[in-house]
Amino acid sequence: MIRATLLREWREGWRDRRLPLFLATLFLLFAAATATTALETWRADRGRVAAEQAERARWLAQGERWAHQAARYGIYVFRPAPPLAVADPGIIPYVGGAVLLESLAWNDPVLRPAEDATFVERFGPLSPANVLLVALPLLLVLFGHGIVAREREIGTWPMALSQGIRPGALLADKVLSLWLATAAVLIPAGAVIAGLAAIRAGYFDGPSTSLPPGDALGRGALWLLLALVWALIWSAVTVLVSATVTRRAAALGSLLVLWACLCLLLPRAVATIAEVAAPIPSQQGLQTELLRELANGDLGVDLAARRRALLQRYGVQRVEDLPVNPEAVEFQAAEDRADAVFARDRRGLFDAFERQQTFSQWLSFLSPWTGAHLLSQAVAGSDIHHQRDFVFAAETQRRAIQELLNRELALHPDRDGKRHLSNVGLWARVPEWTWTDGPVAAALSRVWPAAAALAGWLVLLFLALRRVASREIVR
Amino acid sequence: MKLWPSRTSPADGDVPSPGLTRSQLERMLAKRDGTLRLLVMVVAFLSLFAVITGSFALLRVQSSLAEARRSEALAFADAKQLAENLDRGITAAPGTESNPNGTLPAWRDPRDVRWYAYEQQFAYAIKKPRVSSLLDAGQQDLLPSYYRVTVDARDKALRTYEYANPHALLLGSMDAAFVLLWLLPLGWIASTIAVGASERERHMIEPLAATGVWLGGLWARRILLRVAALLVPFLLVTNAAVLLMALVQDGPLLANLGEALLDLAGWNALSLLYAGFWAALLLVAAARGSGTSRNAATLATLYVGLLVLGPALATFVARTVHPAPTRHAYVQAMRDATDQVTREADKLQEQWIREHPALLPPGQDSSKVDWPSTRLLRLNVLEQRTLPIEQNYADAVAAQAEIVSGFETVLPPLLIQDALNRITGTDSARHTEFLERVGTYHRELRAWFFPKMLAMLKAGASAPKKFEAHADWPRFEPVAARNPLWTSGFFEKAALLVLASLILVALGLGRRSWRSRPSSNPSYPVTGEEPVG
Repeated sequence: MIRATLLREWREGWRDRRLPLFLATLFLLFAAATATTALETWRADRGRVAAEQAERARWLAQGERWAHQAARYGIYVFRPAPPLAVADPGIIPYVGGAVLLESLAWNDPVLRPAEDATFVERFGPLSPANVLLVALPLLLVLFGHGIVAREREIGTWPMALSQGIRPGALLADKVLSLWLATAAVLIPAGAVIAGLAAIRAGYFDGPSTSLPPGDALGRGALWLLLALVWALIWSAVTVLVSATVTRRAAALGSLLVLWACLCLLLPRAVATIAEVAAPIPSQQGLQTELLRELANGDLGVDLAARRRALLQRYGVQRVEDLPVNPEAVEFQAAEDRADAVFARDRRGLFDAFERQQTFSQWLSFLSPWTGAHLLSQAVAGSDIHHQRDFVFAAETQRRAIQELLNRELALHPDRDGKRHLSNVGLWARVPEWTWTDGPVAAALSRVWPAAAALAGWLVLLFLALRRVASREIVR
Repeated sequence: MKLWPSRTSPADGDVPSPGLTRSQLERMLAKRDGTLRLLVMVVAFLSLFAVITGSFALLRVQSSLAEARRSEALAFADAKQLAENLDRGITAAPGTESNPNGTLPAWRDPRDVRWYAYEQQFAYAIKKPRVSSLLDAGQQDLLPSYYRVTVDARDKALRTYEYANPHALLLGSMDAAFVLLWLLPLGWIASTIAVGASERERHMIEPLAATGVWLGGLWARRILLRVAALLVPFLLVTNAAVLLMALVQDGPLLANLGEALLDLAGWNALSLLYAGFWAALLLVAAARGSGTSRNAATLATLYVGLLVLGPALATFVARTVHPAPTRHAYVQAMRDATDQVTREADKLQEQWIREHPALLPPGQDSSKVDWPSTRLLRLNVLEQRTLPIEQNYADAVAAQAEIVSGFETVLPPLLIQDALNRITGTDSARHTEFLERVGTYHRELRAWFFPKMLAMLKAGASAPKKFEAHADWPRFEPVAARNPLWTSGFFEKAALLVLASLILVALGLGRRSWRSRPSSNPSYPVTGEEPVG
């Protein structure tokens, strides 16, 4: 029976050109979006790998220098594009991807791509994720709104039921027919995206890769799974509404309103409510507080007392006789003092972001779009959690560099008023910047409410379909 | 004969009097249209929601700016107080538990212009948001409204962002502009989808035409009525919100109201222009002679084309034709320039020290010469050299904007969004001008401090340190003005949009099948009722 229903639906759709139009539009949209994001990602990767190599070469070639001067000069680290940026660039255009690691400063990532863009980009990027989350539901609505309503209009629906076919099975077949038609595009699109991600991960195997090719493939498979679940949700919504009303026009009208609410209105409304409910501190407020704390921390230091303690520790009378460089000891002490302040400040900021994110996740039970969006970004590695990981990993690297340079400086006190100059031997000991995205399981564990919301929507829709089917029996 | 489909027919006992004009009748029908009533309520609610959240966003920006100015004033007052204490011989900073003596590091002395300029002084450059920006966040959530300017590296000052959740930036704000551009068209489509199509599906077209009714006029009236029914509450809510906000703003009331009224005039005109375009589209759709379902599909496709695919295509073309170099390249170019300037400066410094060894403080090597002054000198040179690098990005974005501007001619939502951004002062062009002002101010500030720093350096340790000598550094005048609309070639494109709308209206009204003529299909039912009026 399933086969017969599917074939009938597709044959009908093929005859009145709805099915080829639907498939072709979906295919073209995915192809254009994937090509666009792949090109952008490739450009970004190429730029990033070249910059990383140049930065490393520059660091090594700085010649003889006072180590603290090198610490102030700093070194840039770059965030690789997320493993599945081809599918969903997510928040990447709106966050900086380059951080200058220098002494006594936890710099914010800078150079957001959105700043070099026109206002049109705020209408929404052409990415596979956007095609999946916004265009696909609309196409499904346009293609499938009459899947039951039309049969009611022409009278074949009651005829089919009078043949003893269970309405539940018939509705399930209708959902399946829409879903399989969509899957016919989604599966190859997902495969191409996963393949591109794996190729990219293998090709751009620079100093910092985003992910091994195998993991990229895994993320690609998960993204495809999400796409299929999303398509299933909208197939079910379409059939449910089409089965609930009696006319095609009413089905289309209701579905369009649903689409507008679920895919346009609610996501923005949810994000806006989250911003009001869990506001983020202003940059200047945080910076003022940070500088105040740092300055107070410095005031709290009695340099003379510290020097005395140092002299006592090494059993010498004069600073010149110290086997260590007191300046370097003080540099590291200042770093340690600042680290605590920086960590509290940045943790507070990212906690504020995550409070909003958590708020949005729970609202996914109202707006499945938000849930799917957050899941897509989590799988793609382009969400706020991955950005947090990058920012904190960069800071860990900064601290490691500062500690190394200060230790080296501490072992070489000034002699005859001359500062000790370090050379490439020291610069080469600074570890290369490597950063890879964490395991996808960790990423998913942070968005479980969104996943639960999507699962909840699926269950709810199938319960609703069962209810509609049972009413058909009564009727 | 009935002039309307049965679902909107007057109920029994509420039959319109024979003297009722057609307009009155249509208004009465619209009032009784349950869907329209619901949509009006939804639009009113969404508009209210949008202006409330927009007001929150505006107040947040204003509060940040006020806080910035307060912290600037506070820092100045603290520095002044500390300088006075030091003048009075109180040489210590406030003691703390771990530093009971409260020894003050040299770089905390505000009387030393070198350290004050380099370590302590800062000023906030502020771009004042317009009250009307509560209607349209535009690029305001992305581009900062203030920068903390110091004499240090310009890049350091200008590469700071206001903290915002990137996820919210990606989605965009739920502001009134979003309601106008994205949601109202859906409301208009939903409320007018059956105009003409419903009569057609009930086989009422021919009988109606046979009565001598001009169908084009009838549909146009119905569409306009419904478009207006949704637009009016939207405009009422948004206008009221801006006027109320203008009333509670600081500053002269008349000036605030004047600014708000000026912006609202533009806002209302643009809303009407957009509504007119959609009304014309809806009229053409009604004239196509399709059923409700097909009409809906056509209009939904147009909607997606105009608001989703069109802008995506514009972005794609603009980025492909004029790609901005990656910012990775920018970082590298800046680093290269920094290295080069450092090398040259080191060489010069070494030479200078070789030639003037007596000027070097005793017991110090060349790496210990005055840090703030030498850094500023280097930065001056560096920033002059790196200006062309930055210009590359600005040029690329300007070229992209040119292309987008071309798309505005065929994509009215882009034209309207761009114009709304300009009117509310949330556009990129205004920000670019603000950035230029900040750049100029940064140079002025450095040019003001630098001679004083050099003088202090020349005078050496014995130089008198007076805070008053450098207390009146130039302050930044907040930027309030916005770009006038005509600078963007808006009016030419708006005229084209009006022309296109008029052509669409003419196409819709001029459809031959709508002209009154006797029924050519005798199979259509004719009820025999007389038309009203």
